[in-house]
Amino acid sequence: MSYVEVTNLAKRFDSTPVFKEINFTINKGEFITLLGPSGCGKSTLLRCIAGLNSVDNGSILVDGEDITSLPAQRRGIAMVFQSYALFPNMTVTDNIAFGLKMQKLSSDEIQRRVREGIEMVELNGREDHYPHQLSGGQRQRVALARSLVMQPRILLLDEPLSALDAKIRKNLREQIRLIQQELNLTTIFVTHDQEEALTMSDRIFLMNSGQIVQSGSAEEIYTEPADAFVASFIGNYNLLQAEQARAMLGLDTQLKVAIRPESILISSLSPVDTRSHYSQPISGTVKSSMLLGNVIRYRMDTDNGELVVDLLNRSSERLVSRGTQLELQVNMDEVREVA
Amino acid sequence: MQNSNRFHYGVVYGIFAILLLPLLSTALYSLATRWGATILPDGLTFDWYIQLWSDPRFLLAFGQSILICLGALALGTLLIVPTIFVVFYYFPRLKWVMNLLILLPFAVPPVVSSVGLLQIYADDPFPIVGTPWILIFTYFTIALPFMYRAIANSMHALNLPDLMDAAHLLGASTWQAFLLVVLPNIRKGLIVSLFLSFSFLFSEFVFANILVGTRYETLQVYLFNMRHTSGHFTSALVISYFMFVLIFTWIANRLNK
Ligand SMILES: Nc1ncnc2c1ncn2[C@@H]1O[C@H](COP(=O)(O)OP(=O)(O)OP(=O)(O)O)[C@@H](O)[C@H]1O
Ligand SMILES: [Mg+2]
Repeated sequence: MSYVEVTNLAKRFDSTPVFKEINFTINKGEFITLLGPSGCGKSTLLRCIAGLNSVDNGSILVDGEDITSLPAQRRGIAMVFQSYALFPNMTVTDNIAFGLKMQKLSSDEIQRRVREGIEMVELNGREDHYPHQLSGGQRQRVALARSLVMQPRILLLDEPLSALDAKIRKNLREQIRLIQQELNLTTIFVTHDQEEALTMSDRIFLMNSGQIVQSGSAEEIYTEPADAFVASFIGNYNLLQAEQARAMLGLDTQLKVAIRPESILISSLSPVDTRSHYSQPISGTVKSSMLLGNVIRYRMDTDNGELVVDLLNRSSERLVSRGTQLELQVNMDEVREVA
Repeated sequence: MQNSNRFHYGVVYGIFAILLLPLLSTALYSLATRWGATILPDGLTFDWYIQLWSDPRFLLAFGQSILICLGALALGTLLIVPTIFVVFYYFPRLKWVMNLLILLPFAVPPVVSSVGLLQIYADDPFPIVGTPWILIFTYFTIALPFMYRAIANSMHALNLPDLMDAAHLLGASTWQAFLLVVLPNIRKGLIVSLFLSFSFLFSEFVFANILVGTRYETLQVYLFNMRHTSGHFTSALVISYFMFVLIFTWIANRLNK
């Protein structure tokens, strides 16, 4: 039996439904990322699980217990907010101890757990600082520790890294993942950053307008997009209409076709991988090129529309200038028809 | 650059001196034995202050002023703090209504509203005209706008929804969250507004005179009634009073830093 079971969950604000039939299960210790565009209902779903919003229908079970109508205080669920939501009038120690004091634990126990929490998020030496004396990353670590010391059954994180700059974001997300694995903590992490989702999660739930449109491991979602929305949301897929695909690739299809930019190669620059099956050469003109670190991204104009092509940035390859005519070949094994 | 700077300083200090001059001369007058046709007084003395501070009527008026101000501020605090919390947390969309309501006391001149207040407080359920209660109930309406603004500003600086959510998830009831999280964070705004309100309520005259007058003499009414006694005596009164308010305002400013 799964640790978390959400069945037929429905929520509306006034008369506008946010979601109608959310169903999923999560295993103990799993790290789930809820990924989706802005406004699709991620925060609302998280808040319903936390008990901060009521639900209109459906049930939430944790470890076999129905918590659907329990108040937030008694669910044993912790949450980290994008805004940190630290108590400005309390020091780091007092912030972390707050929940433990509410539980009326002995002061020895509180001290011990606060100590542990501070060490876990590496905030030693900052115990007596107030939130306004900390950097964004440090604040979010305090918020994380404040949640962790509660030993929650589920940890919810609502875009906890969105307000931080890229480097700290990367650091902190690795730290979160490490702690999560160490504690075997069942975690739901909300983001609209696909890189975050792909690198951190055991499984990704991809949401769009109030529905979970696909769930699966990062690899599954990345290589087997369930529909056109997923393909357009993940990994910069080229999305071709059926008639475009028929004309360009000679495919016999009635569906849209998704092609990953790295599964197209430029014949004159890269050797064809003989184990794969490639399309006829397609001629295209370089419209623009962009250096993305280890990858060069070309936008190419073809007779049947634009294609985005990613090439590994090897030092032997020169950047092809704008207007150059090139031949493209698509690796047909990696072409996906999507609804 | 240098010159224009000097000019600006000159203007500021000039204005300051002009404003300070009457105060200084009043202070000097209150310390003078006799100050007739000469430029400087004949001699200096603390007699006027001693006389003032040993007048039981003055001490009573002083005490009553303090009592009324404290009563009004206590009433204001008890009403406005929970109200602001409820509006900001449960009905944030009603903030504009509060902003409007809170401006009303400014829209009506005191002389006019005192007539209205006399009407309200003359009959049941509040037959309190002529008692100190009517002043308390009037003063608290005057202080409300200031208290509201100061506290609402502190409240705005908080991310109230998220803080309340966080507190709830950590096991606190709404009441505990209010006491432990919200209140400490608006405390500074509250205290500053209390000190400022205190100092201007303390100098309020129109309502005090019309609504209660000599039946419950406050400091201003006392000052007004003493206007025909020795000028040295009333000067000592004005300076004592001024120092008191100054100290309060100064504390309020300090707390605001
Ligand atoms: N308190 C509320 N009252 C009314 N409508 C709301 C409320 N909260 C959210 N909504 C609506 O519900 C929908 C989902 O909002 P939600 O905050 O869950 O989106 P989200 O996926 O978290 O978006 P983002 O990535 O921008 O945070 C939105 O259309 C939003 O306008
Ligand atoms: Mg959100």
